Amino acid sequence: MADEQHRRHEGGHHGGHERGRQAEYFGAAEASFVLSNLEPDQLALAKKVPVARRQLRGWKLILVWSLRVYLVFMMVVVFWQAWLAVR
Amino acid sequence: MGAGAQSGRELRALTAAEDEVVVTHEDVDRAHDRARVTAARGGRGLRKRAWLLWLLIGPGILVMLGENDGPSMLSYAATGAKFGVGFFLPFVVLTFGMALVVQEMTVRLGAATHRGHAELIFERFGPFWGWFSMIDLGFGNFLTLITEFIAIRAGLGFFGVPPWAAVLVALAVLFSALLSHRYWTWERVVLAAAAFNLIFVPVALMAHPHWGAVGHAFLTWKPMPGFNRDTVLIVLSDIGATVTPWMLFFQQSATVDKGLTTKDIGFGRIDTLLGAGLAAAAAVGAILATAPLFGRMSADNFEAAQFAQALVPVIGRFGAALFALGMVEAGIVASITISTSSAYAFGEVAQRPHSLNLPVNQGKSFYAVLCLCAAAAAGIVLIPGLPLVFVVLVVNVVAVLAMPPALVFLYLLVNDKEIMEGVKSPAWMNTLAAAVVVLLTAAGILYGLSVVAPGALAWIGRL
Repeated sequence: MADEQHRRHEGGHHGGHERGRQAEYFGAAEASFVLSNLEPDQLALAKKVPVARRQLRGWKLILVWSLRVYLVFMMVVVFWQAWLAVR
Repeated sequence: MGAGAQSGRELRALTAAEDEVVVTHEDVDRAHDRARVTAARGGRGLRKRAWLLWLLIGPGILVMLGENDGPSMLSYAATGAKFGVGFFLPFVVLTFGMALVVQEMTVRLGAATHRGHAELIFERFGPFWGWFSMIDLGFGNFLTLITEFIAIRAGLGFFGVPPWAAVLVALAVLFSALLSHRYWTWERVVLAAAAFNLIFVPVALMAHPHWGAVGHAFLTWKPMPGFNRDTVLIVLSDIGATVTPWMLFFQQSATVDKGLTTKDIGFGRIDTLLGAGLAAAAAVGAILATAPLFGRMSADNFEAAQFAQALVPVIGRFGAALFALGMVEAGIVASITISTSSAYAFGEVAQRPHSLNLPVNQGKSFYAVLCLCAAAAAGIVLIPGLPLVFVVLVVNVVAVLAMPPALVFLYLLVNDKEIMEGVKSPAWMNTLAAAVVVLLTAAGILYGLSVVAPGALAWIGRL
Protein backbone atom coordinates (compact mmCIF):
# COMPACT_ATOMS: atom_id res chain seq x y z
CA MET A 1 0.00 0.00 0.00
CA ALA A 2 1.22 3.44 -0.91
CA ASP A 3 0.07 4.80 2.42
CA GLU A 4 2.05 2.19 4.27
CA GLN A 5 5.24 3.51 2.69
CA HIS A 6 4.58 6.91 4.23
CA ARG A 7 3.49 5.74 7.62
CA ARG A 8 6.16 6.47 10.14
CA HIS A 9 6.67 6.03 13.79
CA GLU A 10 5.77 9.40 15.26
CA GLY A 11 8.90 11.21 16.34
CA GLY A 12 10.97 8.92 14.18
CA HIS A 13 13.18 11.86 13.15
CA HIS A 14 13.63 13.07 16.66
CA GLY A 15 16.65 10.96 17.39
CA GLY A 16 17.12 11.27 21.11
CA HIS A 17 14.03 13.42 21.55
CA GLU A 18 11.39 10.71 21.54
CA ARG A 19 10.62 11.19 25.22
CA GLY A 20 6.94 11.08 25.96
CA ARG A 21 5.87 10.17 22.45
CA GLN A 22 4.35 6.85 21.55
CA ALA A 23 3.85 5.10 18.26
CA GLU A 24 1.15 6.62 16.13
CA TYR A 25 0.77 6.32 12.41
CA PHE A 26 -0.55 8.81 9.90
CA GLY A 27 -1.18 8.29 6.22
CA ALA A 28 0.22 10.34 3.37
CA ALA A 29 -3.10 12.10 2.97
CA GLU A 30 -3.00 13.33 6.55
CA ALA A 31 0.63 14.37 6.27
CA SER A 32 -0.20 16.31 3.14
CA PHE A 33 -3.22 17.88 4.83
CA VAL A 34 -1.07 18.97 7.77
CA LEU A 35 1.63 20.47 5.56
CA SER A 36 -0.88 22.39 3.50
CA ASN A 37 -2.51 23.92 6.58
CA LEU A 38 0.39 24.58 8.95
CA GLU A 39 3.45 26.72 8.50
CA PRO A 40 6.61 24.58 8.62
CA ASP A 41 7.70 25.98 11.96
CA GLN A 42 4.30 25.19 13.47
CA LEU A 43 4.98 21.46 13.37
CA ALA A 44 5.79 19.87 16.71
CA LEU A 45 9.05 18.58 15.24
CA ALA A 46 10.16 22.13 14.37
CA LYS A 47 10.21 23.04 18.05
CA LYS A 48 13.10 20.66 18.56
CA VAL A 49 15.28 23.11 16.65
CA PRO A 50 16.42 25.67 19.23
CA VAL A 51 16.24 29.42 18.69
CA ALA A 52 19.71 30.98 18.52
CA ARG A 53 21.10 32.27 21.82
CA ARG A 54 21.50 36.00 22.41
CA GLN A 55 23.76 37.52 25.06
CA LEU A 56 22.41 40.27 27.27
CA ARG A 57 24.86 43.17 27.45
CA GLY A 58 25.08 46.79 28.53
CA TRP A 59 21.97 48.56 29.78
CA LYS A 60 19.83 45.50 29.17
CA LEU A 61 21.94 43.38 31.51
CA ILE A 62 21.96 46.15 34.13
CA LEU A 63 18.17 46.49 33.83
CA VAL A 64 17.39 42.81 34.27
CA TRP A 65 19.79 42.54 37.23
CA SER A 66 18.33 45.69 38.85
CA LEU A 67 14.81 44.33 38.53
CA ARG A 68 15.92 40.99 39.94
CA VAL A 69 17.39 42.69 43.02
CA TYR A 70 14.24 44.84 43.31
CA LEU A 71 12.04 41.74 43.20
CA VAL A 72 13.99 39.85 45.85
CA PHE A 73 14.07 42.87 48.17
CA MET A 74 10.37 43.58 47.72
CA MET A 75 9.42 39.95 48.30
CA VAL A 76 11.14 40.07 51.68
CA VAL A 77 9.20 43.24 52.49
CA VAL A 78 5.88 41.71 51.40
CA PHE A 79 6.30 38.50 53.34
CA TRP A 80 7.47 40.33 56.42
CA GLN A 81 4.43 42.62 56.25
CA ALA A 82 2.01 39.78 55.56
CA TRP A 83 3.48 37.77 58.42
CA LEU A 84 2.92 40.71 60.78
CA ALA A 85 -0.65 41.12 59.48
CA VAL A 86 -1.48 37.46 60.05
CA ARG A 87 0.03 37.44 63.55
CA MET B 1 14.45 35.62 8.55
CA GLY B 2 13.11 35.05 12.03
CA ALA B 3 14.18 32.17 14.20
CA GLY B 4 10.86 30.52 13.56
CA ALA B 5 11.47 30.70 9.83
CA GLN B 6 15.02 29.46 10.33
CA SER B 7 13.77 26.43 12.17
CA GLY B 8 11.20 25.93 9.40
CA ARG B 9 13.99 25.90 6.80
CA GLU B 10 15.98 23.43 8.84
CA LEU B 11 12.88 21.28 9.16
CA ARG B 12 12.23 21.35 5.45
CA ALA B 13 15.86 20.36 4.84
CA LEU B 14 15.51 17.55 7.36
CA THR B 15 12.32 16.19 5.88
CA ALA B 16 13.46 16.60 2.29
CA ALA B 17 16.68 14.74 3.00
CA GLU B 18 14.80 11.70 4.11
CA ASP B 19 11.93 12.23 1.68
CA GLU B 20 9.56 11.74 4.55
CA VAL B 21 7.28 13.90 6.59
CA VAL B 22 6.77 13.41 10.28
CA VAL B 23 3.54 14.69 11.72
CA THR B 24 2.15 14.21 15.18
CA HIS B 25 -1.34 13.90 16.55
CA GLU B 26 -0.95 17.48 17.81
CA ASP B 27 -0.13 18.67 14.27
CA VAL B 28 -3.13 16.89 12.76
CA ASP B 29 -5.57 18.44 15.24
CA ARG B 30 -4.07 21.88 14.77
CA ALA B 31 -4.19 21.52 10.99
CA HIS B 32 -7.93 20.78 11.19
CA ASP B 33 -8.43 24.01 13.14
CA ARG B 34 -6.33 25.95 10.66
CA ALA B 35 -8.19 24.47 7.70
CA ARG B 36 -11.42 25.98 9.01
CA VAL B 37 -9.68 29.34 9.44
CA THR B 38 -8.30 29.19 5.89
CA ALA B 39 -11.75 28.35 4.51
CA ALA B 40 -13.36 31.19 6.47
CA ARG B 41 -10.69 33.66 5.39
CA GLY B 42 -11.64 33.13 1.75
CA GLY B 43 -15.19 34.39 2.32
CA ARG B 44 -16.47 37.94 2.11
CA GLY B 45 -19.24 39.75 3.92
CA LEU B 46 -19.99 40.50 7.52
CA ARG B 47 -21.24 37.01 8.32
CA LYS B 48 -18.03 35.40 7.08
CA ARG B 49 -15.90 37.91 8.99
CA ALA B 50 -17.90 37.21 12.13
CA TRP B 51 -17.36 33.47 11.60
CA LEU B 52 -13.63 34.05 11.17
CA LEU B 53 -13.57 36.11 14.34
CA TRP B 54 -15.43 33.34 16.16
CA LEU B 55 -12.80 30.85 15.02
CA LEU B 56 -9.89 33.05 16.04
CA ILE B 57 -11.03 34.43 19.39
CA GLY B 58 -10.11 32.56 22.53
CA PRO B 59 -6.73 33.18 24.16
CA GLY B 60 -7.36 36.93 24.67
CA ILE B 61 -10.81 36.57 26.19
CA LEU B 62 -9.72 33.61 28.28
CA VAL B 63 -6.67 35.35 29.67
CA MET B 64 -8.58 38.52 30.57
CA LEU B 65 -11.61 36.79 32.09
CA GLY B 66 -9.29 34.23 33.66
CA GLU B 67 -7.47 37.06 35.39
CA ASN B 68 -10.78 38.24 36.83
CA ASP B 69 -10.14 35.46 39.30
CA GLY B 70 -10.99 34.87 42.94
CA PRO B 71 -8.49 37.29 44.51
CA SER B 72 -9.13 39.85 41.75
CA MET B 73 -12.89 39.89 42.29
CA LEU B 74 -12.29 40.05 46.05
CA SER B 75 -9.97 42.98 45.46
CA TYR B 76 -12.62 44.81 43.38
CA ALA B 77 -15.26 44.01 45.98
CA ALA B 78 -12.99 45.36 48.71
CA THR B 79 -12.35 48.45 46.58
CA GLY B 80 -16.07 49.16 46.33
CA ALA B 81 -16.73 48.48 50.00
CA LYS B 82 -13.77 50.53 51.19
CA PHE B 83 -13.75 53.46 48.79
CA GLY B 84 -17.21 53.49 47.17
CA VAL B 85 -17.73 55.11 43.77
CA GLY B 86 -14.84 57.40 42.83
CA PHE B 87 -11.20 57.29 41.74
CA PHE B 88 -10.97 53.51 41.54
CA LEU B 89 -13.62 53.12 38.81
CA PRO B 90 -11.56 54.76 36.05
CA PHE B 91 -8.36 53.47 37.63
CA VAL B 92 -9.49 49.86 37.23
CA VAL B 93 -10.41 50.50 33.60
CA LEU B 94 -6.94 52.00 33.12
CA THR B 95 -5.34 48.84 34.51
CA PHE B 96 -7.16 46.85 31.82
CA GLY B 97 -5.69 49.25 29.28
CA MET B 98 -2.27 48.33 30.68
CA ALA B 99 -3.13 44.64 30.41
CA LEU B 100 -4.17 45.16 26.79
CA VAL B 101 -0.83 46.77 25.90
CA VAL B 102 1.08 43.94 27.52
CA GLN B 103 -1.01 41.06 26.23
CA GLU B 104 -1.04 42.31 22.64
CA MET B 105 2.72 41.79 22.62
CA THR B 106 2.32 38.12 23.56
CA VAL B 107 -0.08 37.61 20.62
CA ARG B 108 2.50 38.96 18.17
CA LEU B 109 5.32 37.02 19.80
CA GLY B 110 3.39 33.73 19.74
CA ALA B 111 2.10 34.20 16.19
CA ALA B 112 5.52 35.18 14.81
CA THR B 113 7.68 32.57 16.54
CA HIS B 114 5.22 29.70 17.24
CA ARG B 115 7.04 29.30 20.55
CA GLY B 116 5.85 29.67 24.10
CA HIS B 117 7.13 32.44 26.38
CA ALA B 118 9.13 30.18 28.71
CA GLU B 119 10.67 28.40 25.74
CA LEU B 120 11.77 31.67 24.14
CA ILE B 121 13.32 33.09 27.33
CA PHE B 122 15.24 29.84 27.90
CA GLU B 123 16.49 29.53 24.36
CA ARG B 124 17.14 33.20 23.62
CA PHE B 125 18.60 34.36 26.94
CA GLY B 126 19.82 31.04 28.35
CA PRO B 127 18.83 28.89 31.31
CA PHE B 128 20.12 31.33 33.95
CA TRP B 129 17.43 33.92 33.19
CA GLY B 130 15.03 31.22 32.11
CA TRP B 131 15.05 29.60 35.52
CA PHE B 132 14.53 32.93 37.27
CA SER B 133 11.45 33.51 35.13
CA MET B 134 10.21 29.99 35.78
CA ILE B 135 10.66 30.32 39.54
CA ASP B 136 8.70 33.61 39.50
CA LEU B 137 5.98 31.99 37.42
CA GLY B 138 5.78 28.72 39.35
CA PHE B 139 5.74 30.44 42.74
CA GLY B 140 3.17 33.05 41.70
CA ASN B 141 0.99 30.51 39.93
CA PHE B 142 0.88 28.15 42.87
CA LEU B 143 0.03 30.90 45.36
CA THR B 144 -2.68 32.18 43.00
CA LEU B 145 -4.10 28.70 42.49
CA ILE B 146 -4.49 28.35 46.25
CA THR B 147 -6.47 31.59 46.34
CA GLU B 148 -8.74 30.34 43.53
CA PHE B 149 -9.75 27.38 45.66
CA ILE B 150 -10.19 29.69 48.64
CA ALA B 151 -12.63 31.75 46.54
CA ILE B 152 -14.45 28.63 45.33
CA ARG B 153 -14.71 27.31 48.87
CA ALA B 154 -15.95 30.63 50.21
CA GLY B 155 -18.41 31.17 47.33
CA LEU B 156 -19.98 27.72 47.60
CA GLY B 157 -19.87 28.09 51.39
CA PHE B 158 -22.58 30.74 50.97
CA PHE B 159 -24.89 27.92 49.83
CA GLY B 160 -23.86 25.67 52.70
CA VAL B 161 -21.60 23.44 50.56
CA PRO B 162 -18.84 21.93 52.74
CA PRO B 163 -15.26 22.82 51.74
CA TRP B 164 -14.29 19.31 50.58
CA ALA B 165 -17.31 19.14 48.29
CA ALA B 166 -16.61 22.63 46.91
CA VAL B 167 -13.04 21.69 46.08
CA LEU B 168 -14.12 18.41 44.49
CA VAL B 169 -16.66 20.22 42.28
CA ALA B 170 -13.94 22.60 41.07
CA LEU B 171 -11.51 19.79 40.34
CA ALA B 172 -14.23 17.85 38.51
CA VAL B 173 -14.92 20.83 36.23
CA LEU B 174 -11.19 21.32 35.61
CA PHE B 175 -10.61 17.65 34.74
CA SER B 176 -13.73 17.37 32.58
CA ALA B 177 -12.61 20.37 30.48
CA LEU B 178 -9.54 18.29 29.56
CA LEU B 179 -11.44 15.18 28.52
CA SER B 180 -11.68 16.07 24.83
CA HIS B 181 -7.86 16.26 24.45
CA ARG B 182 -8.56 18.93 21.89
CA TYR B 183 -7.47 22.55 22.22
CA TRP B 184 -10.52 23.84 20.35
CA THR B 185 -13.07 22.00 22.54
CA TRP B 186 -11.21 22.90 25.72
CA GLU B 187 -11.13 26.56 24.67
CA ARG B 188 -14.87 26.67 23.91
CA VAL B 189 -15.80 24.92 27.19
CA VAL B 190 -13.67 27.33 29.22
CA LEU B 191 -14.97 30.33 27.22
CA ALA B 192 -18.53 29.29 28.06
CA ALA B 193 -17.61 29.02 31.74
CA ALA B 194 -15.76 32.37 31.61
CA ALA B 195 -18.84 34.12 30.21
CA PHE B 196 -20.41 33.73 33.65
CA ASN B 197 -17.89 36.28 34.91
CA LEU B 198 -20.30 38.87 33.54
CA ILE B 199 -22.73 37.85 36.29
CA PHE B 200 -21.25 40.78 38.23
CA VAL B 201 -22.91 43.20 35.81
CA PRO B 202 -26.53 42.27 36.72
CA VAL B 203 -25.48 42.12 40.38
CA ALA B 204 -24.24 45.71 40.05
CA LEU B 205 -27.55 46.73 38.47
CA MET B 206 -29.41 45.17 41.40
CA ALA B 207 -27.44 47.47 43.72
CA HIS B 208 -29.03 50.48 41.91
CA PRO B 209 -25.84 52.52 41.53
CA HIS B 210 -26.10 56.29 41.41
CA TRP B 211 -25.32 56.77 37.70
CA GLY B 212 -24.60 60.46 38.12
CA ALA B 213 -21.85 59.64 40.62
CA VAL B 214 -20.54 56.88 38.37
CA GLY B 215 -20.34 59.26 35.38
CA HIS B 216 -18.69 61.93 37.56
CA ALA B 217 -16.11 59.41 38.78
CA PHE B 218 -15.21 58.35 35.23
CA LEU B 219 -14.91 61.95 34.04
CA THR B 220 -13.07 63.47 36.98
CA TRP B 221 -11.44 60.50 38.79
CA LYS B 222 -12.97 61.93 41.97
CA PRO B 223 -13.49 61.63 44.87
CA MET B 224 -9.83 60.80 45.36
CA PRO B 225 -8.91 58.49 48.22
CA GLY B 226 -6.53 59.58 50.98
CA PHE B 227 -2.88 58.81 50.32
CA ASN B 228 -2.06 56.15 52.89
CA ARG B 229 -1.00 52.54 53.16
CA ASP B 230 -4.56 51.22 52.69
CA THR B 231 -4.87 53.11 49.44
CA VAL B 232 -1.48 51.94 48.20
CA LEU B 233 -2.38 48.36 49.06
CA ILE B 234 -5.66 48.57 47.14
CA VAL B 235 -3.91 50.25 44.20
CA LEU B 236 -1.39 47.42 44.13
CA SER B 237 -4.08 44.83 44.60
CA ASP B 238 -6.18 46.21 41.73
CA ILE B 239 -3.16 46.36 39.45
CA GLY B 240 -2.24 42.81 40.45
CA ALA B 241 -5.82 41.88 39.63
CA THR B 242 -5.31 42.77 35.95
CA VAL B 243 -1.65 42.31 35.01
CA THR B 244 0.23 39.24 36.19
CA PRO B 245 3.09 37.11 34.86
CA TRP B 246 0.96 33.99 34.24
CA MET B 247 -1.07 35.95 31.69
CA LEU B 248 2.02 36.49 29.51
CA PHE B 249 2.95 32.82 29.56
CA PHE B 250 -0.63 31.61 29.09
CA GLN B 251 -1.66 33.81 26.18
CA GLN B 252 1.52 33.24 24.23
CA SER B 253 1.35 29.47 24.71
CA ALA B 254 -2.37 29.39 23.91
CA THR B 255 -1.74 31.46 20.77
CA VAL B 256 0.83 28.88 19.69
CA ASP B 257 -1.37 25.92 20.64
CA LYS B 258 -4.31 27.43 18.74
CA GLY B 259 -2.01 27.77 15.75
CA LEU B 260 -2.35 31.50 15.12
CA THR B 261 0.00 32.95 12.52
CA THR B 262 1.07 36.50 11.67
CA LYS B 263 -1.98 36.77 9.39
CA ASP B 264 -4.18 36.39 12.47
CA ILE B 265 -2.57 39.11 14.59
CA GLY B 266 -5.36 41.60 13.83
CA PHE B 267 -7.96 39.17 15.09
CA GLY B 268 -5.73 38.33 18.04
CA ARG B 269 -5.80 42.03 18.93
CA ILE B 270 -9.59 42.13 18.67
CA ASP B 271 -9.76 39.01 20.84
CA THR B 272 -7.58 40.66 23.50
CA LEU B 273 -9.52 43.93 23.27
CA LEU B 274 -12.83 42.09 23.64
CA GLY B 275 -11.45 40.22 26.63
CA ALA B 276 -10.22 43.44 28.25
CA GLY B 277 -13.60 45.12 27.68
CA LEU B 278 -15.60 42.22 29.11
CA ALA B 279 -13.28 41.81 32.06
CA ALA B 280 -13.35 45.55 32.80
CA ALA B 281 -17.17 45.47 32.74
CA ALA B 282 -17.18 42.61 35.27
CA ALA B 283 -14.61 44.38 37.46
CA VAL B 284 -16.54 47.66 37.45
CA GLY B 285 -19.67 45.61 38.17
CA ALA B 286 -18.05 44.09 41.26
CA ILE B 287 -17.03 47.54 42.53
CA LEU B 288 -20.49 48.97 41.95
CA ALA B 289 -22.13 45.93 43.57
CA THR B 290 -20.22 46.41 46.81
CA ALA B 291 -20.17 50.22 46.76
CA PRO B 292 -23.38 50.36 48.87
CA LEU B 293 -21.35 48.68 51.63
CA PHE B 294 -19.07 51.75 51.73
CA GLY B 295 -18.84 52.82 55.37
CA ARG B 296 -20.93 49.84 56.53
CA MET B 297 -18.39 47.02 56.72
CA SER B 298 -14.72 46.51 57.32
CA ALA B 299 -13.05 45.06 54.27
CA ASP B 300 -9.77 44.32 55.97
CA ASN B 301 -10.09 40.57 56.19
CA PHE B 302 -12.52 40.10 53.39
CA GLU B 303 -13.78 36.79 52.10
CA ALA B 304 -16.27 36.08 49.36
CA ALA B 305 -18.92 34.70 51.68
CA GLN B 306 -18.68 37.75 53.95
CA PHE B 307 -19.31 40.04 50.99
CA ALA B 308 -22.22 37.94 49.80
CA GLN B 309 -23.75 37.90 53.29
CA ALA B 310 -23.24 41.64 53.69
CA LEU B 311 -24.93 42.24 50.32
CA VAL B 312 -28.15 40.40 51.28
CA PRO B 313 -29.81 43.51 52.81
CA VAL B 314 -28.75 45.60 49.78
CA ILE B 315 -29.53 43.39 46.80
CA GLY B 316 -31.51 40.56 48.36
CA ARG B 317 -30.75 36.90 48.78
CA PHE B 318 -30.93 36.21 45.01
CA GLY B 319 -28.46 38.98 44.16
CA ALA B 320 -26.10 37.87 46.92
CA ALA B 321 -26.33 34.30 45.63
CA LEU B 322 -25.36 35.53 42.15
CA PHE B 323 -22.40 37.37 43.67
CA ALA B 324 -21.27 34.20 45.45
CA LEU B 325 -21.70 32.20 42.23
CA GLY B 326 -19.61 34.80 40.42
CA MET B 327 -16.81 34.19 42.91
CA VAL B 328 -17.07 30.44 42.31
CA GLU B 329 -16.94 30.92 38.54
CA ALA B 330 -13.97 33.29 38.84
CA GLY B 331 -12.09 30.71 40.90
CA ILE B 332 -12.91 27.77 38.63
CA VAL B 333 -12.00 29.48 35.34
CA ALA B 334 -8.77 30.87 36.76
CA SER B 335 -7.79 27.52 38.28
CA ILE B 336 -8.13 26.05 34.76
CA THR B 337 -6.17 28.76 32.96
CA ILE B 338 -3.46 29.14 35.60
CA SER B 339 -2.77 25.42 35.92
CA THR B 340 -2.68 25.23 32.12
CA SER B 341 -0.16 28.07 32.04
CA SER B 342 2.07 26.15 34.49
CA ALA B 343 1.79 22.98 32.39
CA TYR B 344 2.64 24.81 29.16
CA ALA B 345 5.68 26.45 30.76
CA PHE B 346 6.90 23.18 32.26
CA GLY B 347 6.56 21.40 28.91
CA GLU B 348 8.37 24.18 27.08
CA VAL B 349 11.28 24.24 29.48
CA ALA B 350 11.57 20.48 29.93
CA GLN B 351 11.14 19.97 26.16
CA ARG B 352 8.26 17.60 26.76
CA PRO B 353 5.17 17.53 24.52
CA HIS B 354 2.90 20.37 25.63
CA SER B 355 -0.42 20.90 23.93
CA LEU B 356 -4.07 20.53 24.75
CA ASN B 357 -4.31 18.64 21.43
CA LEU B 358 -2.28 15.76 22.85
CA PRO B 359 -3.90 12.49 23.82
CA VAL B 360 -3.13 11.62 27.44
CA ASN B 361 -0.66 8.86 26.53
CA GLN B 362 1.43 11.34 24.50
CA GLY B 363 1.19 14.24 26.89
CA LYS B 364 1.52 12.49 30.23
CA SER B 365 3.86 15.06 31.77
CA PHE B 366 1.76 17.99 30.47
CA TYR B 367 -1.49 16.68 31.91
CA ALA B 368 0.25 15.46 35.07
CA VAL B 369 1.66 18.94 35.85
CA LEU B 370 -1.70 20.55 35.08
CA CYS B 371 -3.68 18.19 37.30
CA LEU B 372 -1.13 17.92 40.10
CA CYS B 373 -0.78 21.71 40.46
CA ALA B 374 -4.55 22.07 40.76
CA ALA B 375 -4.93 19.08 43.08
CA ALA B 376 -2.09 20.26 45.36
CA ALA B 377 -3.54 23.78 45.65
CA ALA B 378 -6.99 22.33 46.33
CA GLY B 379 -5.55 20.03 48.98
CA ILE B 380 -3.77 22.88 50.76
CA VAL B 381 -7.03 24.80 51.07
CA LEU B 382 -8.52 21.86 52.98
CA ILE B 383 -5.74 21.68 55.59
CA PRO B 384 -7.30 22.98 58.79
CA GLY B 385 -5.64 25.88 60.58
CA LEU B 386 -3.48 27.11 57.69
CA PRO B 387 -3.22 30.92 57.46
CA LEU B 388 -5.04 31.20 54.13
CA VAL B 389 -5.63 34.92 54.67
CA PHE B 390 -1.83 35.27 54.44
CA VAL B 391 -1.93 33.92 50.87
CA VAL B 392 -4.89 36.10 49.85
CA LEU B 393 -3.11 39.16 51.22
CA VAL B 394 0.10 38.66 49.32
CA VAL B 395 -0.95 37.10 46.04
CA ASN B 396 -1.89 40.23 44.07
CA VAL B 397 1.00 42.20 45.53
CA VAL B 398 3.44 39.45 44.54
CA ALA B 399 1.97 39.55 41.02
CA VAL B 400 2.64 43.29 40.69
CA LEU B 401 6.19 42.93 41.99
CA ALA B 402 7.00 40.06 39.62
CA MET B 403 5.62 41.86 36.58
CA PRO B 404 8.46 44.34 35.78
CA PRO B 405 11.16 41.63 35.39
CA ALA B 406 8.74 39.56 33.28
CA LEU B 407 7.80 42.58 31.18
CA VAL B 408 11.41 43.46 30.45
CA PHE B 409 11.96 40.02 28.89
CA LEU B 410 8.74 40.40 26.93
CA TYR B 411 9.91 43.84 25.76
CA LEU B 412 13.30 42.48 24.68
CA LEU B 413 11.75 39.55 22.83
CA VAL B 414 9.09 41.54 21.05
CA ASN B 415 11.72 44.00 19.83
CA ASP B 416 14.09 41.26 18.71
CA LYS B 417 14.44 41.73 14.96
CA GLU B 418 15.84 38.24 14.48
CA ILE B 419 12.68 36.53 15.69
CA MET B 420 10.05 39.21 15.07
CA GLU B 421 10.71 40.22 11.49
CA GLY B 422 7.90 42.43 10.25
CA VAL B 423 5.87 42.43 13.46
CA LYS B 424 8.25 43.92 16.00
CA SER B 425 6.86 46.64 18.23
CA PRO B 426 6.52 50.16 16.83
CA ALA B 427 7.97 53.04 18.87
CA TRP B 428 4.63 54.15 20.32
CA MET B 429 3.94 50.63 21.56
CA ASN B 430 7.38 50.49 23.17
CA THR B 431 6.70 53.80 24.89
CA LEU B 432 3.44 52.44 26.32
CA ALA B 433 5.15 49.22 27.42
CA ALA B 434 7.95 51.19 29.08
CA ALA B 435 5.34 53.34 30.84
CA VAL B 436 3.67 50.19 32.18
CA VAL B 437 7.01 48.91 33.53
CA VAL B 438 7.73 52.27 35.19
CA LEU B 439 4.22 52.46 36.68
CA LEU B 440 4.34 48.93 38.07
CA THR B 441 7.81 49.44 39.51
CA ALA B 442 6.77 52.75 41.07
CA ALA B 443 3.68 51.14 42.59
CA GLY B 444 5.87 48.39 44.07
CA ILE B 445 8.33 50.94 45.49
CA LEU B 446 5.46 52.94 47.01
CA TYR B 447 4.25 49.79 48.69
CA GLY B 448 7.74 49.07 49.98
CA LEU B 449 7.96 52.62 51.32
CA SER B 450 4.59 52.26 53.03
CA VAL B 451 5.94 49.26 54.92
CA VAL B 452 9.53 50.29 55.59
CA ALA B 453 8.97 54.03 56.11
CA PRO B 454 5.28 54.87 56.59
CA GLY B 455 6.29 58.47 57.41
CA ALA B 456 7.71 58.88 53.92
CA LEU B 457 4.36 57.95 52.40
CA ALA B 458 2.56 60.58 54.49
CA TRP B 459 5.17 63.13 53.39
CA ILE B 460 4.61 62.25 49.71
CA GLY B 461 0.85 62.53 50.27
CA ARG B 462 1.27 66.11 51.54
CA LEU B 463 3.13 67.16 48.38
